[in-house]
Order: sequence, then C-alpha cells, then structure tokens
Amino acid sequence: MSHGDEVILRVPAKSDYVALVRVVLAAAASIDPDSRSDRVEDLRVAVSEAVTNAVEAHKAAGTDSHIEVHCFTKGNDVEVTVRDRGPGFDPDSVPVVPDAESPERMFFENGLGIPLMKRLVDKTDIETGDGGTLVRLVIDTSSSPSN
Amino acid sequence: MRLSHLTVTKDGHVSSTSSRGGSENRYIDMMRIAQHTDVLDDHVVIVLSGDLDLSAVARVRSVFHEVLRDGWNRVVVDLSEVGFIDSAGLGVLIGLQRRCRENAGVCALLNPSTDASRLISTSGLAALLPSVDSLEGAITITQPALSNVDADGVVVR
Repeated sequence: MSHGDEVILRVPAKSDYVALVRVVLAAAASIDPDSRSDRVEDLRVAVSEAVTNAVEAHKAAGTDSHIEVHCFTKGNDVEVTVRDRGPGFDPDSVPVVPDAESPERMFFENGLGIPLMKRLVDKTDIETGDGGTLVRLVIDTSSSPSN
Repeated sequence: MRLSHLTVTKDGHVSSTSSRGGSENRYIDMMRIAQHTDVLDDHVVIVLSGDLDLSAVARVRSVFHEVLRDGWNRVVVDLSEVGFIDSAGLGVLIGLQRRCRENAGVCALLNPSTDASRLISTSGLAALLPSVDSLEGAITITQPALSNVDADGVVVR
C-alpha cells in the first residue's frame, strides 16, 4: 500500500504489550470517518491474535528480541503486518478445529487464533520459516463484515 | 484484569473476594453480593472485568481451577465488565466449560458485551458457551445439566 499513512511499533515480546498494540492500531484504523466500529473491532481482535502468537513464538524460541508491527492506512484500507523472530511453524500441522456442534470442540482451548484471524479480516497471509513468521492482515474498515 | 469471586453455599453462606494480580486480595462490596443470594443457591458467580487476553488467562484459569477444586460444577461467569476478549480468553472459557461438564455441571456467560457476543458467534462457540442476560437465565441454563450429562461429561440434548 503506497501514499498512505504508516504507524510502526516495536514492542517487547511480553503479554502485557498485546493490549498496547491493539489499542494503537485500532485508533489508527478509526481515524477515517467512514470506518465502521464493528470492522475496527474485527481488526482489533485479529491483531491481538497475531501479536499473541508472536509473543508465544518468542517464548518458545527463548528470544528476547522485539516484535515489529507495521500499520499502513489509506482511507479505509488498512494493512497490518506482525513480524516475530520465533521458530516458525508448519502451517499444515495446525490442528483443524472441529465443527461447533462436535463434542470434541470443547477439547480445543488453543489453536483458535489463526482460524479467527481468517474469519475477521478480508485477507490473511502468513509467511513462516526458521527466521520467524510474518502475518499480514488486510481489511476495508468501511465494508460490511462477512461473518 | 480484575477478578471477583462470589460464592453462595448450600447453607446460604455468602463470601466474596476480588483480586488484581499478584497476591493482592481484598473483600468487595457485600451489598452487591447479598442481592444475588436468593437466585444463586448452589451456584458460584465469577465476575471478570478488564481485558480477557493472553495477559490475563493464567490468573483467570487459576481462579477457575480453584472454584472447581472446591467442588463447584455450576458456574456463572459475569462478563458484563469485560471490554475485550480474544481467542486466548475464549480458550480459558472453553476449558472451564469442559471441566464443569466433566463434573456433571455446566457454565454460563452472563451479559457479555456486544463485541464479545459477536466474537463468540463468529467463532462458532455460541452453543458451547451459552450466554444469558440475567442470573435467573443462568439458573435456567445450568439446572438441567445434572440429569443430562453422559458418562463422558457431554451434555445430551
């Protein structure tokens, strides 16, 4: 996204900073007067999921490096990237969450974050490898929610 | 995240504590608790306020474990003062629901915010995490559980 506004955050990989990131990014996404509050909330949750995963990835890797978050806005178009320096993961190994009606669903306390991100924003890209993971979230905050 | 823990025992004894992290514990307004006594017999109500995210789940899970360890299996979680919840928060509520059902009980969510309700619905968890808008409604949801739970702790409908 070019010729828009950019907000850059570099935060410690600690759970207490997850709220800071989502507050700042939700505020940035709300600047355009046409933004919808429900879509900004969708972004807020998706960002929280991405940063939470980044914090846990750093914990797993035992690294004290920071998490980098970029937010690009152009009108109602918002793009957020969250980069961690964790160990990466195999996207194919992410467990499939059972259907809502399945009794097995209540055994899944974890693993809800990535499916939720994909439902909440318009586009989610995940690049992951040994050097870490980059999550890219794209949303038009003036559009109606798809869910 | 602030935790308040209200307990109404079968003999009518009411107790309450609230905490805000660490080892801090203090009693809260007893009048508020007394209002609930009549409708909360044999239930425990846990009041959460603040953001229910990664930074809070360890403490919330610890409170849930304590409640279950004390023998409670019908739990009402008051979310009316929770301003934000994400999958980490949903996960700890799912865990509570599973453990309640394993103990032939059930949990209900009281007054989640509009955003929290939408997230629960979007996540496909509305049936697993039933929401009510009153304590009486919570009683309605939690009462049938005792006779409708199979050997695996799953509610039979």
